[in-house]
Amino acid sequence: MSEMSRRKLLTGALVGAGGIAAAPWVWKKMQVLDQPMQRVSAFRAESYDADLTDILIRGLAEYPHVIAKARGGRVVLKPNLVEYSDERPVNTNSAVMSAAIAAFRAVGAREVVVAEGPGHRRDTEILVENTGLRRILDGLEVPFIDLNVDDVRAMTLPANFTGFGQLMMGRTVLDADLFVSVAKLKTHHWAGATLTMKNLFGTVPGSVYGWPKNPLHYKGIDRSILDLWHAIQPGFGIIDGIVGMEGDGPIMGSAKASGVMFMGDHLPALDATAVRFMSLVPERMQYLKASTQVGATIAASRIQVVGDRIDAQVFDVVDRFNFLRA
Amino acid sequence: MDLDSARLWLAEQKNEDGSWGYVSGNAGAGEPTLLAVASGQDAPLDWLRAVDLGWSNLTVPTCLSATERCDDLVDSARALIVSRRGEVVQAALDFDPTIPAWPWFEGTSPWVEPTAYAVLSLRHMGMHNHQRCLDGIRMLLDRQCDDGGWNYGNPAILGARLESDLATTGRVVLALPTSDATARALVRLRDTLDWQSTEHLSLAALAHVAHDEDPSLFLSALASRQQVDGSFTGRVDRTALAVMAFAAGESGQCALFVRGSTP
Repeated sequence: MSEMSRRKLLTGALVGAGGIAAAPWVWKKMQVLDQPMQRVSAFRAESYDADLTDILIRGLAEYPHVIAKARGGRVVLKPNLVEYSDERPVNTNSAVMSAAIAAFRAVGAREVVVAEGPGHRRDTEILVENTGLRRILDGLEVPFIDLNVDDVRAMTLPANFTGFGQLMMGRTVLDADLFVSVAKLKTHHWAGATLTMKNLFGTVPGSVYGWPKNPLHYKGIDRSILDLWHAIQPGFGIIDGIVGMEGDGPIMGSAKASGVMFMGDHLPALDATAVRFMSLVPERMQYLKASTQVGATIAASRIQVVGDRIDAQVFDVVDRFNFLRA
Repeated sequence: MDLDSARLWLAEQKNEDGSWGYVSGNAGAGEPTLLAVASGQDAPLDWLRAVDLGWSNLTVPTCLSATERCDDLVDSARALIVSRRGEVVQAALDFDPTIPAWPWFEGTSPWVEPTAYAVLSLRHMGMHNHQRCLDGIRMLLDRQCDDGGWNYGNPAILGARLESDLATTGRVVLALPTSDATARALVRLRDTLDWQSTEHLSLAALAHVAHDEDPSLFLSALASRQQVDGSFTGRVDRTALAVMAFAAGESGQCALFVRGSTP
Protein backbone atom coordinates (compact mmCIF):
# COMPACT_ATOMS: atom_id res chain seq x y z
CA MET A 1 0.00 0.00 0.00
CA SER A 2 1.40 3.37 -0.93
CA GLU A 3 2.14 6.04 1.65
CA MET A 4 -0.65 8.22 0.26
CA SER A 5 -3.20 5.38 0.36
CA ARG A 6 -2.23 4.53 3.92
CA ARG A 7 -2.58 8.15 4.89
CA LYS A 8 -6.02 8.41 3.38
CA LEU A 9 -7.10 5.14 4.96
CA LEU A 10 -5.76 6.28 8.33
CA THR A 11 -7.51 9.61 8.03
CA GLY A 12 -10.75 7.95 7.10
CA ALA A 13 -10.47 5.66 10.09
CA LEU A 14 -9.80 8.58 12.43
CA VAL A 15 -12.79 10.48 11.14
CA GLY A 16 -14.93 7.42 11.63
CA ALA A 17 -13.68 6.72 15.16
CA GLY A 18 -13.44 10.29 16.37
CA GLY A 19 -16.80 11.37 15.12
CA ILE A 20 -17.94 14.82 14.06
CA ALA A 21 -16.02 16.74 16.75
CA ALA A 22 -12.64 15.50 15.54
CA ALA A 23 -13.37 15.81 11.82
CA PRO A 24 -12.31 19.43 11.14
CA TRP A 25 -8.91 18.96 12.81
CA VAL A 26 -8.33 15.69 11.07
CA TRP A 27 -9.45 17.09 7.74
CA LYS A 28 -7.02 20.00 8.01
CA LYS A 29 -4.19 17.66 8.95
CA MET A 30 -5.04 15.39 6.06
CA GLN A 31 -5.00 18.31 3.65
CA VAL A 32 -1.46 19.16 4.71
CA LEU A 33 -0.23 15.57 4.58
CA ASP A 34 -1.76 15.16 1.13
CA GLN A 35 0.46 17.92 -0.23
CA PRO A 36 3.39 16.34 -2.09
CA MET A 37 6.86 17.18 -0.77
CA GLN A 38 8.48 20.01 -2.71
CA ARG A 39 11.84 21.71 -2.67
CA VAL A 40 12.57 25.45 -2.76
CA SER A 41 16.04 26.97 -2.99
CA ALA A 42 16.88 30.17 -1.13
CA PHE A 43 20.11 32.10 -1.49
CA ARG A 44 21.52 35.26 -0.03
CA ALA A 45 22.43 37.88 -2.67
CA GLU A 46 23.26 41.19 -1.06
CA SER A 47 23.31 43.23 -4.26
CA TYR A 48 22.85 43.05 -8.00
CA ASP A 49 26.65 43.06 -8.31
CA ALA A 50 26.84 39.60 -6.72
CA ASP A 51 27.59 36.60 -8.94
CA LEU A 52 23.95 35.92 -9.68
CA THR A 53 24.73 33.48 -12.48
CA ASP A 54 26.60 31.27 -10.04
CA ILE A 55 23.69 31.45 -7.60
CA LEU A 56 21.22 30.46 -10.29
CA ILE A 57 23.38 27.60 -11.55
CA ARG A 58 23.75 26.30 -7.97
CA GLY A 59 20.02 26.60 -7.55
CA LEU A 60 19.26 24.82 -10.80
CA ALA A 61 21.51 21.95 -9.77
CA GLU A 62 18.85 20.99 -7.22
CA TYR A 63 16.43 20.26 -10.08
CA PRO A 64 18.00 17.82 -12.59
CA HIS A 65 14.68 17.33 -14.41
CA VAL A 66 14.51 21.11 -15.05
CA ILE A 67 18.01 21.05 -16.48
CA ALA A 68 16.99 18.11 -18.64
CA LYS A 69 14.08 20.14 -20.05
CA ALA A 70 16.28 23.14 -20.69
CA ARG A 71 19.07 21.17 -22.34
CA GLY A 72 18.70 21.41 -26.10
CA GLY A 73 15.40 23.20 -25.77
CA ARG A 74 13.88 26.64 -26.00
CA VAL A 75 13.75 28.37 -22.62
CA VAL A 76 11.31 31.26 -22.27
CA LEU A 77 12.12 33.64 -19.41
CA LYS A 78 9.17 35.76 -18.35
CA PRO A 79 10.17 38.75 -16.19
CA ASN A 80 7.77 41.03 -14.35
CA LEU A 81 7.82 44.30 -16.30
CA VAL A 82 5.04 46.62 -15.23
CA GLU A 83 6.11 50.18 -15.81
CA TYR A 84 9.30 52.14 -15.47
CA SER A 85 10.13 54.17 -12.38
CA ASP A 86 13.39 55.88 -11.47
CA GLU A 87 12.53 55.66 -7.81
CA ARG A 88 10.80 52.37 -7.16
CA PRO A 89 11.87 48.75 -7.83
CA VAL A 90 8.82 47.85 -9.86
CA ASN A 91 10.33 45.37 -12.29
CA THR A 92 12.46 42.23 -12.24
CA ASN A 93 15.97 43.65 -12.24
CA SER A 94 17.87 43.38 -15.51
CA ALA A 95 20.89 41.91 -13.71
CA VAL A 96 18.72 38.96 -12.67
CA MET A 97 17.55 38.53 -16.25
CA SER A 98 21.13 38.63 -17.49
CA ALA A 99 22.12 35.99 -14.95
CA ALA A 100 19.14 33.80 -15.81
CA ILE A 101 20.04 33.92 -19.50
CA ALA A 102 23.63 32.95 -18.69
CA ALA A 103 22.57 30.19 -16.31
CA PHE A 104 20.20 28.50 -18.73
CA ARG A 105 22.76 28.77 -21.50
CA ALA A 106 25.31 27.23 -19.15
CA VAL A 107 23.11 24.20 -18.55
CA GLY A 108 22.70 23.66 -22.27
CA ALA A 109 19.62 25.52 -23.49
CA ARG A 110 19.51 25.64 -27.29
CA GLU A 111 17.79 29.01 -27.23
CA VAL A 112 16.83 31.48 -24.51
CA VAL A 113 14.28 34.22 -25.16
CA VAL A 114 12.77 36.85 -22.89
CA ALA A 115 9.03 37.35 -23.23
CA GLU A 116 6.59 39.61 -21.42
CA GLY A 117 3.19 41.17 -22.01
CA PRO A 118 2.84 44.06 -19.56
CA GLY A 119 -0.62 44.60 -18.18
CA HIS A 120 -0.62 48.38 -18.05
CA ARG A 121 1.79 49.66 -20.63
CA ARG A 122 1.43 48.71 -24.26
CA ASP A 123 4.70 50.35 -25.21
CA THR A 124 7.16 47.57 -24.44
CA GLU A 125 9.87 49.29 -26.47
CA ILE A 126 10.14 52.13 -23.96
CA LEU A 127 9.78 49.77 -21.00
CA VAL A 128 12.53 47.42 -22.17
CA GLU A 129 14.84 50.33 -22.92
CA ASN A 130 14.26 52.31 -19.74
CA THR A 131 14.65 49.32 -17.45
CA GLY A 132 18.06 48.55 -18.99
CA LEU A 133 16.87 45.23 -20.34
CA ARG A 134 17.40 46.24 -23.98
CA ARG A 135 21.12 46.81 -23.41
CA ILE A 136 21.42 43.38 -21.78
CA LEU A 137 19.44 41.59 -24.47
CA ASP A 138 21.35 43.24 -27.31
CA GLY A 139 24.66 42.39 -25.66
CA LEU A 140 23.70 38.76 -25.21
CA GLU A 141 21.87 38.55 -28.56
CA VAL A 142 18.64 37.45 -26.93
CA PRO A 143 15.32 38.36 -28.56
CA PHE A 144 12.51 40.05 -26.67
CA ILE A 145 9.02 38.81 -27.52
CA ASP A 146 6.06 41.01 -26.71
CA LEU A 147 3.46 38.53 -25.45
CA ASN A 148 0.72 41.11 -25.87
CA VAL A 149 0.97 40.80 -29.64
CA ASP A 150 2.12 37.22 -30.06
CA ASP A 151 0.32 34.79 -32.35
CA VAL A 152 -2.37 33.17 -30.23
CA ARG A 153 -4.31 29.95 -30.01
CA ALA A 154 -6.83 28.57 -27.53
CA MET A 155 -5.51 27.10 -24.28
CA THR A 156 -7.84 24.82 -22.33
CA LEU A 157 -8.19 25.53 -18.63
CA PRO A 158 -8.42 22.05 -17.06
CA ALA A 159 -9.39 23.27 -13.58
CA ASN A 160 -11.49 26.15 -14.92
CA PHE A 161 -11.58 28.21 -11.74
CA THR A 162 -12.63 31.23 -13.80
CA GLY A 163 -15.31 29.53 -15.87
CA PHE A 164 -13.64 30.74 -19.09
CA GLY A 165 -13.14 27.14 -20.21
CA GLN A 166 -10.31 28.33 -22.40
CA LEU A 167 -8.14 31.40 -22.88
CA MET A 168 -6.31 32.65 -25.91
CA MET A 169 -2.59 32.32 -25.24
CA GLY A 170 0.60 33.21 -27.11
CA ARG A 171 2.45 30.50 -28.98
CA THR A 172 5.71 31.54 -27.29
CA VAL A 173 4.25 30.42 -23.97
CA LEU A 174 2.53 27.30 -25.29
CA ASP A 175 5.46 26.04 -27.34
CA ALA A 176 8.23 26.63 -24.78
CA ASP A 177 10.27 23.60 -23.79
CA LEU A 178 10.76 25.28 -20.43
CA PHE A 179 8.76 28.31 -19.31
CA VAL A 180 10.32 30.20 -16.40
CA SER A 181 8.49 32.84 -14.38
CA VAL A 182 11.10 35.35 -13.16
CA ALA A 183 9.21 37.46 -10.65
CA LYS A 184 9.89 40.34 -8.29
CA LEU A 185 9.35 40.00 -4.54
CA LYS A 186 6.52 42.49 -4.02
CA THR A 187 3.40 43.03 -2.00
CA HIS A 188 0.29 43.72 -4.08
CA HIS A 189 -2.66 45.90 -3.18
CA TRP A 190 -5.22 43.59 -4.83
CA ALA A 191 -3.66 40.12 -4.42
CA GLY A 192 -1.60 40.41 -1.23
CA ALA A 193 1.66 39.51 -2.91
CA THR A 194 2.80 39.23 -6.51
CA LEU A 195 5.32 36.50 -7.14
CA THR A 196 5.86 33.82 -9.78
CA MET A 197 2.18 32.84 -10.04
CA LYS A 198 0.71 36.35 -10.27
CA ASN A 199 3.47 37.13 -12.79
CA LEU A 200 1.61 34.86 -15.21
CA PHE A 201 -0.95 37.62 -15.86
CA GLY A 202 1.67 38.95 -18.25
CA THR A 203 1.25 35.93 -20.50
CA VAL A 204 -2.29 36.94 -21.46
CA PRO A 205 -2.38 38.73 -24.83
CA GLY A 206 -3.55 42.34 -24.72
CA SER A 207 -4.28 42.14 -28.43
CA VAL A 208 -7.24 39.96 -27.45
CA TYR A 209 -8.14 41.03 -23.91
CA GLY A 210 -6.89 44.63 -23.83
CA TRP A 211 -4.91 46.42 -21.16
CA PRO A 212 -5.06 45.71 -18.19
CA LYS A 213 -6.53 42.35 -19.26
CA ASN A 214 -9.75 43.24 -17.56
CA PRO A 215 -11.70 40.00 -18.18
CA LEU A 216 -9.35 38.32 -15.71
CA HIS A 217 -10.19 40.88 -13.04
CA TYR A 218 -13.89 40.33 -13.66
CA LYS A 219 -13.51 36.60 -13.12
CA GLY A 220 -11.42 37.23 -10.01
CA ILE A 221 -7.70 37.78 -9.66
CA ASP A 222 -7.24 34.71 -7.46
CA ARG A 223 -9.18 32.42 -9.80
CA SER A 224 -7.31 33.79 -12.81
CA ILE A 225 -3.92 33.24 -11.18
CA LEU A 226 -4.89 29.65 -10.44
CA ASP A 227 -6.12 28.95 -13.95
CA LEU A 228 -3.03 30.43 -15.55
CA TRP A 229 -0.64 28.52 -13.32
CA HIS A 230 -2.56 25.25 -13.65
CA ALA A 231 -2.90 25.48 -17.43
CA ILE A 232 0.58 26.77 -18.28
CA GLN A 233 2.41 24.64 -15.68
CA PRO A 234 5.63 26.69 -15.74
CA GLY A 235 8.61 24.43 -15.24
CA PHE A 236 10.59 26.77 -13.02
CA GLY A 237 10.35 29.99 -11.06
CA ILE A 238 12.85 32.57 -9.87
CA ILE A 239 12.12 35.41 -7.44
CA ASP A 240 14.24 38.55 -7.43
CA GLY A 241 14.16 39.58 -3.78
CA ILE A 242 17.49 41.37 -3.79
CA VAL A 243 15.54 44.59 -3.63
CA GLY A 244 11.84 43.91 -3.22
CA MET A 245 8.84 46.13 -2.67
CA GLU A 246 6.60 46.53 0.39
CA GLY A 247 3.45 48.50 1.08
CA ASP A 248 1.40 49.72 -1.87
CA GLY A 249 2.81 47.33 -4.46
CA PRO A 250 3.01 46.42 -7.28
CA ILE A 251 3.87 49.96 -8.45
CA MET A 252 3.62 52.56 -5.72
CA GLY A 253 5.23 50.70 -2.81
CA SER A 254 8.60 51.29 -1.15
CA ALA A 255 11.90 49.59 -1.86
CA LYS A 256 12.83 46.83 0.57
CA ALA A 257 16.45 45.71 0.37
CA SER A 258 16.05 42.05 1.29
CA GLY A 259 19.16 40.48 -0.22
CA VAL A 260 17.57 37.19 -1.21
CA MET A 261 16.72 35.07 -4.23
CA PHE A 262 14.33 32.13 -4.27
CA MET A 263 13.84 29.51 -6.96
CA GLY A 264 12.07 26.24 -7.46
CA ASP A 265 10.18 23.96 -9.82
CA HIS A 266 6.81 24.11 -8.04
CA LEU A 267 5.47 27.64 -8.11
CA PRO A 268 2.95 27.43 -5.25
CA ALA A 269 5.64 26.12 -2.88
CA LEU A 270 8.06 28.75 -4.15
CA ASP A 271 5.58 31.58 -3.69
CA ALA A 272 4.43 30.28 -0.29
CA THR A 273 8.05 30.25 0.89
CA ALA A 274 8.58 33.82 -0.31
CA VAL A 275 5.34 34.89 1.38
CA ARG A 276 6.57 33.40 4.67
CA PHE A 277 9.84 35.26 4.18
CA MET A 278 7.74 38.46 4.06
CA SER A 279 6.21 37.44 7.45
CA LEU A 280 2.84 36.85 5.81
CA VAL A 281 0.74 33.68 6.00
CA PRO A 282 0.34 31.92 2.63
CA GLU A 283 -2.60 29.83 3.87
CA ARG A 284 -4.53 33.12 4.16
CA MET A 285 -3.91 34.05 0.55
CA GLN A 286 -6.81 32.82 -1.52
CA TYR A 287 -4.98 31.70 -4.62
CA LEU A 288 -2.30 29.86 -2.70
CA LYS A 289 -4.80 28.17 -0.42
CA ALA A 290 -7.01 27.14 -3.34
CA SER A 291 -4.04 25.82 -5.31
CA THR A 292 -3.93 22.88 -2.90
CA GLN A 293 -7.26 21.73 -4.41
CA VAL A 294 -5.40 20.88 -7.60
CA GLY A 295 -2.39 19.20 -6.12
CA ALA A 296 -0.23 22.12 -5.02
CA THR A 297 1.96 22.29 -1.95
CA ILE A 298 2.10 25.36 0.26
CA ALA A 299 2.45 23.91 3.79
CA ALA A 300 5.80 24.69 5.40
CA SER A 301 6.08 21.13 6.68
CA ARG A 302 5.87 19.82 3.10
CA ILE A 303 8.50 22.18 1.66
CA GLN A 304 12.20 21.45 1.99
CA VAL A 305 14.07 24.74 1.80
CA VAL A 306 17.66 24.26 0.66
CA GLY A 307 20.52 26.66 0.08
CA ASP A 308 21.42 29.45 2.50
CA ARG A 309 19.82 30.01 5.87
CA ILE A 310 17.45 32.94 5.36
CA ASP A 311 15.67 34.71 8.22
CA ALA A 312 12.23 36.16 7.61
CA GLN A 313 11.78 39.90 7.25
CA VAL A 314 8.70 41.98 7.98
CA PHE A 315 7.12 43.47 4.86
CA ASP A 316 4.56 46.23 5.23
CA VAL A 317 1.22 45.65 3.49
CA VAL A 318 -1.72 47.93 2.75
CA ASP A 319 -4.37 47.89 5.48
CA ARG A 320 -6.78 45.62 3.63
CA PHE A 321 -4.17 42.85 3.84
CA ASN A 322 -3.35 43.18 7.53
CA PHE A 323 -5.01 39.80 8.02
CA LEU A 324 -2.11 38.22 6.12
CA ARG A 325 0.42 39.20 8.77
CA ALA A 326 1.95 36.28 10.65
CA MET B 1 13.89 58.89 -42.22
CA ASP B 2 13.57 56.96 -45.45
CA LEU B 3 9.82 56.92 -45.93
CA ASP B 4 9.97 54.82 -49.08
CA SER B 5 11.92 52.01 -47.44
CA ALA B 6 9.50 51.96 -44.51
CA ARG B 7 6.56 51.71 -46.89
CA LEU B 8 8.30 49.02 -48.89
CA TRP B 9 9.03 47.07 -45.70
CA LEU B 10 5.36 47.27 -44.76
CA ALA B 11 4.29 46.05 -48.19
CA GLU B 12 6.68 43.13 -47.91
CA GLN B 13 5.19 42.03 -44.59
CA LYS B 14 1.74 41.55 -46.04
CA ASN B 15 0.42 38.02 -45.58
CA GLU B 16 -0.98 36.04 -48.50
CA ASP B 17 -4.51 36.79 -47.32
CA GLY B 18 -3.76 40.52 -47.49
CA SER B 19 -3.54 41.02 -43.71
CA TRP B 20 -0.65 42.01 -41.48
CA GLY B 21 0.51 40.48 -38.22
CA TYR B 22 2.23 42.55 -35.56
CA VAL B 23 5.57 41.06 -36.55
CA SER B 24 6.80 39.45 -39.72
CA GLY B 25 5.45 35.97 -40.26
CA ASN B 26 2.68 36.24 -37.68
CA ALA B 27 -0.95 35.64 -38.50
CA GLY B 28 -3.02 38.68 -39.43
CA ALA B 29 -4.46 40.76 -36.60
CA GLY B 30 -6.88 43.65 -36.63
CA GLU B 31 -4.73 46.44 -35.24
CA PRO B 32 -1.61 46.09 -37.42
CA THR B 33 -3.72 45.50 -40.52
CA LEU B 34 -5.84 48.59 -39.93
CA LEU B 35 -2.81 50.75 -39.11
CA ALA B 36 -1.04 49.53 -42.25
CA VAL B 37 -4.11 50.50 -44.26
CA ALA B 38 -4.30 53.90 -42.57
CA SER B 39 -0.66 54.44 -43.52
CA GLY B 40 -1.50 53.96 -47.19
CA GLN B 41 -1.30 50.20 -47.84
CA ASP B 42 -4.09 48.42 -49.71
CA ALA B 43 -7.01 47.33 -47.57
CA PRO B 44 -7.73 43.59 -47.45
CA LEU B 45 -11.50 44.12 -47.37
CA ASP B 46 -12.44 40.46 -47.73
CA TRP B 47 -10.15 39.55 -44.84
CA LEU B 48 -11.56 42.37 -42.71
CA ARG B 49 -15.09 41.14 -43.42
CA ALA B 50 -14.21 37.55 -42.54
CA VAL B 51 -12.44 37.85 -39.19
CA ASP B 52 -13.44 38.86 -35.69
CA LEU B 53 -11.60 42.14 -35.21
CA GLY B 54 -12.31 42.32 -31.48
CA TRP B 55 -11.54 45.73 -30.00
CA SER B 56 -9.94 46.80 -33.28
CA ASN B 57 -13.49 47.33 -34.54
CA LEU B 58 -13.37 50.61 -32.63
CA THR B 59 -10.71 51.87 -35.06
CA VAL B 60 -12.35 50.74 -38.31
CA PRO B 61 -14.09 54.04 -39.21
CA THR B 62 -10.86 55.93 -38.53
CA CYS B 63 -8.41 53.63 -40.25
CA LEU B 64 -10.64 53.04 -43.29
CA SER B 65 -11.56 56.71 -43.66
CA ALA B 66 -9.51 56.97 -46.85
CA THR B 67 -10.58 53.57 -48.20
CA GLU B 68 -13.31 53.14 -50.81
CA ARG B 69 -16.03 50.48 -51.07
CA CYS B 70 -16.01 49.63 -47.37
CA ASP B 71 -19.31 51.19 -46.26
CA ASP B 72 -20.52 47.85 -44.91
CA LEU B 73 -17.49 47.54 -42.62
CA VAL B 74 -17.87 51.11 -41.38
CA ASP B 75 -21.63 50.69 -40.83
CA SER B 76 -21.08 47.54 -38.84
CA ALA B 77 -18.36 49.20 -36.75
CA ARG B 78 -20.58 52.24 -36.19
CA ALA B 79 -23.37 50.02 -34.83
CA LEU B 80 -20.93 48.31 -32.48
CA ILE B 81 -19.39 51.57 -31.31
CA VAL B 82 -22.74 53.19 -30.57
CA SER B 83 -24.13 50.17 -28.73
CA ARG B 84 -21.13 48.99 -26.72
CA ARG B 85 -20.47 50.45 -23.31
CA GLY B 86 -18.37 49.33 -20.40
CA GLU B 87 -19.70 48.07 -17.11
CA VAL B 88 -19.96 50.59 -14.29
CA VAL B 89 -17.61 49.65 -11.46
CA GLN B 90 -19.25 49.80 -8.04
CA ALA B 91 -16.25 50.90 -6.01
CA ALA B 92 -14.81 54.00 -4.42
CA LEU B 93 -12.57 55.43 -7.11
CA ASP B 94 -10.73 58.65 -7.73
CA PHE B 95 -12.67 59.28 -10.92
CA ASP B 96 -16.26 59.13 -12.12
CA PRO B 97 -16.96 55.51 -13.16
CA THR B 98 -20.51 56.30 -14.26
CA ILE B 99 -19.60 58.18 -17.45
CA PRO B 100 -20.52 55.88 -20.35
CA ALA B 101 -17.43 54.83 -22.27
CA TRP B 102 -15.83 51.86 -24.01
CA PRO B 103 -14.17 48.67 -22.75
CA TRP B 104 -11.49 46.67 -24.50
CA PHE B 105 -13.54 43.53 -24.05
CA GLU B 106 -17.30 43.20 -23.90
CA GLY B 107 -18.71 42.94 -20.39
CA THR B 108 -15.81 44.70 -18.65
CA SER B 109 -14.98 48.24 -17.54
CA PRO B 110 -14.33 51.23 -19.77
CA TRP B 111 -10.70 52.23 -20.28
CA VAL B 112 -9.00 55.26 -21.72
CA GLU B 113 -7.54 53.85 -24.92
CA PRO B 114 -10.60 52.11 -26.37
CA THR B 115 -12.60 55.21 -25.50
CA ALA B 116 -10.12 57.34 -27.43
CA TYR B 117 -10.45 55.00 -30.42
CA ALA B 118 -14.24 55.15 -30.28
CA VAL B 119 -14.35 58.95 -29.91
CA LEU B 120 -11.99 59.39 -32.84
CA SER B 121 -14.09 57.08 -34.99
CA LEU B 122 -17.34 58.84 -34.05
CA ARG B 123 -15.76 62.16 -34.96
CA HIS B 124 -14.52 60.70 -38.24
CA MET B 125 -18.10 59.70 -39.02
CA GLY B 126 -19.31 63.23 -38.32
CA MET B 127 -21.04 62.20 -35.09
CA HIS B 128 -19.45 65.01 -33.08
CA ASN B 129 -22.64 65.85 -31.23
CA HIS B 130 -23.80 62.29 -30.65
CA GLN B 131 -24.28 61.72 -26.93
CA ARG B 132 -21.85 58.79 -26.96
CA CYS B 133 -19.15 61.02 -28.45
CA LEU B 134 -19.79 63.78 -25.93
CA ASP B 135 -19.77 61.28 -23.06
CA GLY B 136 -16.57 59.72 -24.37
CA ILE B 137 -14.84 63.09 -24.42
CA ARG B 138 -16.13 63.79 -20.91
CA MET B 139 -14.73 60.46 -19.71
CA LEU B 140 -11.32 61.16 -21.22
CA LEU B 141 -11.16 64.59 -19.61
CA ASP B 142 -12.18 63.04 -16.27
CA ARG B 143 -9.26 60.60 -16.45
CA GLN B 144 -6.53 63.11 -17.29
CA CYS B 145 -3.55 62.65 -14.95
CA ASP B 146 -2.10 65.47 -12.88
CA ASP B 147 0.91 65.65 -15.20
CA GLY B 148 -1.36 66.45 -18.16
CA GLY B 149 -1.27 63.07 -19.88
CA TRP B 150 -3.26 59.86 -19.70
CA ASN B 151 -2.46 56.32 -18.65
CA TYR B 152 -4.49 53.16 -19.24
CA GLY B 153 -7.33 54.45 -17.12
CA ASN B 154 -6.57 55.40 -13.54
CA PRO B 155 -5.27 58.89 -12.72
CA ALA B 156 -5.10 57.66 -9.13
CA ILE B 157 -5.50 54.43 -7.24
CA LEU B 158 -6.03 53.91 -3.53
CA GLY B 159 -5.22 57.59 -3.01
CA ALA B 160 -1.89 57.52 -4.88
CA ARG B 161 -1.67 59.80 -7.92
CA LEU B 162 -0.35 57.98 -10.99
CA GLU B 163 1.81 59.12 -13.87
CA SER B 164 0.65 59.18 -17.45
CA ASP B 165 1.83 56.93 -20.23
CA LEU B 166 3.27 58.71 -23.24
CA ALA B 167 1.89 56.58 -26.06
CA THR B 168 -1.57 56.55 -24.49
CA THR B 169 -1.37 60.31 -24.13
CA GLY B 170 -0.62 60.62 -27.83
CA ARG B 171 -3.58 58.42 -28.73
CA VAL B 172 -5.96 60.46 -26.56
CA VAL B 173 -4.73 63.81 -27.89
CA LEU B 174 -5.36 62.55 -31.43
CA ALA B 175 -8.94 61.75 -30.47
CA LEU B 176 -9.81 65.02 -28.74
CA PRO B 177 -10.67 68.39 -30.24
CA THR B 178 -8.21 71.15 -29.38
CA SER B 179 -8.67 72.48 -25.84
CA ASP B 180 -6.75 73.46 -22.73
CA ALA B 181 -6.59 69.75 -21.87
CA THR B 182 -4.86 68.85 -25.14
CA ALA B 183 -2.50 71.81 -24.73
CA ARG B 184 -1.44 70.49 -21.31
CA ALA B 185 -0.97 67.02 -22.80
CA LEU B 186 1.22 68.34 -25.62
CA VAL B 187 3.42 70.02 -23.01
CA ARG B 188 3.68 66.68 -21.18
CA LEU B 189 4.77 64.99 -24.41
CA ARG B 190 7.41 67.65 -25.09
CA ASP B 191 8.68 67.44 -21.50
CA THR B 192 9.29 63.71 -21.86
CA LEU B 193 11.10 63.80 -25.17
CA ASP B 194 14.06 61.95 -23.69
CA TRP B 195 11.85 58.90 -22.97
CA GLN B 196 11.91 57.60 -26.48
CA SER B 197 10.15 54.85 -28.34
CA THR B 198 8.67 54.51 -31.79
CA GLU B 199 5.12 54.63 -30.47
CA HIS B 200 5.76 57.60 -28.22
CA LEU B 201 7.55 59.65 -30.84
CA SER B 202 5.18 58.78 -33.70
CA LEU B 203 2.04 59.46 -31.71
CA ALA B 204 3.49 62.61 -30.19
CA ALA B 205 4.37 63.90 -33.67
CA LEU B 206 0.92 63.02 -34.99
CA ALA B 207 -0.72 64.68 -31.98
CA HIS B 208 1.27 67.84 -32.59
CA VAL B 209 0.39 68.02 -36.28
CA ALA B 210 -3.26 67.30 -35.51
CA HIS B 211 -3.36 70.30 -33.19
CA ASP B 212 -1.31 72.56 -35.48
CA GLU B 213 1.87 72.38 -33.43
CA ASP B 214 5.42 71.75 -34.65
CA PRO B 215 6.34 68.01 -34.66
CA SER B 216 9.95 68.40 -35.78
CA LEU B 217 11.62 67.52 -32.47
CA PHE B 218 9.79 64.21 -32.36
CA LEU B 219 10.37 63.44 -36.03
CA SER B 220 14.10 63.97 -35.84
CA ALA B 221 14.32 61.65 -32.83
CA LEU B 222 12.10 59.14 -34.59
CA ALA B 223 14.25 59.11 -37.73
CA SER B 224 17.23 57.84 -35.77
CA ARG B 225 15.29 54.76 -34.73
CA GLN B 226 14.67 53.43 -38.21
CA GLN B 227 16.40 50.11 -38.86
CA VAL B 228 18.45 49.22 -41.90
CA ASP B 229 15.57 47.15 -43.29
CA GLY B 230 13.33 50.23 -43.23
CA SER B 231 11.22 49.10 -40.28
CA PHE B 232 10.91 50.34 -36.73
CA THR B 233 11.78 47.50 -34.32
CA GLY B 234 10.51 45.02 -36.91
CA ARG B 235 6.92 45.74 -35.89
CA VAL B 236 4.17 46.46 -38.40
CA ASP B 237 2.05 48.59 -36.06
CA ARG B 238 4.99 50.77 -35.03
CA THR B 239 6.31 51.13 -38.57
CA ALA B 240 2.86 52.14 -39.81
CA LEU B 241 2.62 54.79 -37.09
CA ALA B 242 6.08 56.09 -37.98
CA VAL B 243 5.14 56.27 -41.67
CA MET B 244 2.01 58.24 -40.81
CA ALA B 245 3.96 60.57 -38.53
CA PHE B 246 6.52 61.44 -41.21
CA ALA B 247 3.94 61.75 -43.95
CA ALA B 248 1.88 64.04 -41.71
CA GLY B 249 5.00 66.08 -40.93
CA GLU B 250 5.49 66.66 -44.63
CA SER B 251 1.91 67.12 -45.78
CA GLY B 252 -0.09 67.94 -42.66
CA GLN B 253 -2.42 65.10 -43.65
CA CYS B 254 -3.13 61.73 -42.06
CA ALA B 255 -5.99 59.26 -42.20
CA LEU B 256 -6.17 59.44 -38.42
CA PHE B 257 -6.90 63.20 -38.33
CA VAL B 258 -10.29 64.80 -37.96
CA ARG B 259 -10.00 68.29 -39.42
CA GLY B 260 -12.17 71.42 -39.07
CA SER B 261 -14.84 69.74 -37.05
CA THR B 262 -14.53 70.81 -33.44
CA PRO B 263 -17.86 70.14 -31.70
